[in-house]
Amino acid sequence: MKVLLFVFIASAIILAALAATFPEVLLNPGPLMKSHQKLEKKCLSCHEPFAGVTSTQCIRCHKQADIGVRKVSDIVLSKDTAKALFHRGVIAASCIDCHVDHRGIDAAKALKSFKHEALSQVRQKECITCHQNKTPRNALHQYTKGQCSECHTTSRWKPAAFDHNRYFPLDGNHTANCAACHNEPGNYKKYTCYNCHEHSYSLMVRKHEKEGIVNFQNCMKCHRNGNREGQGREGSGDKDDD
Amino acid sequence: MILIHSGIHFNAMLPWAATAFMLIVTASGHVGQYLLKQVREEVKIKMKQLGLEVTEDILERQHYWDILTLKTLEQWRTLHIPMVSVLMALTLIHILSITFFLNWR
Repeated sequence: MKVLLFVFIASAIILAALAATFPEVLLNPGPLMKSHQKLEKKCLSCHEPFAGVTSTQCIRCHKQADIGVRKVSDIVLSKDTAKALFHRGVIAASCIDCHVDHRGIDAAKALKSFKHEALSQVRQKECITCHQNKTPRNALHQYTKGQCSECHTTSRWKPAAFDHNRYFPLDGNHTANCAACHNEPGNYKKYTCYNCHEHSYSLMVRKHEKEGIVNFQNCMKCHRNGNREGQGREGSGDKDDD
Repeated sequence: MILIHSGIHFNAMLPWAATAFMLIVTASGHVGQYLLKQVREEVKIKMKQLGLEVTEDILERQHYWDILTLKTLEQWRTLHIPMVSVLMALTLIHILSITFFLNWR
């Protein structure tokens, strides 16, 4: 029992001393990125005892306003507006939400999957600032002025929450821009069919009255598929008008 | 399980030394187990030869004293016990270092 205790204490002391002297060999879980290599022996530059890595430690060297503008060593960088703008838009002291280390010398590997929550509320609404190459060009998106987040989530672009065909098919007869039907900016719940030549109000009144239909304000109720012939026509006595 | 828990990292020496020592101590434990079995069999045979009744209780008591006195087991203990101590020290330092550097919040 004495031997067990003695060897245990002696080994623990030797190992602790070795770990403190050569942390890069005994404790380092993986190579640091190239720019952090000089910190290999200085674990406490980034790690706070019993608290892990905190963004506070990062900010000591990496000032938020300087990211993409100048290096830690004060060398001014070539213009990288996107990087600089992006980092100014993220919430202060949220470095570790995206960045890690000990994944090898390539800094590109030291990134976690991006979380939109790390962005400030204002930046979260400016999807196109980052997703410039994903600006949609199709008929549905061409005239939209609203926020992407009205239909899309931040986890993936597709499936988007909105499928126009569920409400009304944008087929060959109806390739109008959004504003032609949704004439209240930003409010796509409201629509009108009277904005085009074929569906002028006076013509519609004439056509419906001829058929004995009085309640025809809600076009979609009968013409959901966009055809001339309505489905389930309303009679003159129908009071449903929503 | 130990390898899965570590995420199979190949960098830090300390956890690998602890893993290697654990395997060595486990192997050493099996050697000890084998030696004990051999001793037990030997005692059984000897007691039969002497015409003594072999009950489990007598066997256990006899066995215990034989273990302590048998030279082979003593030699095994002199190696095995320090190895267990080193393994315990390695495990302790490993746990302490993880606690010190990791973010637990």
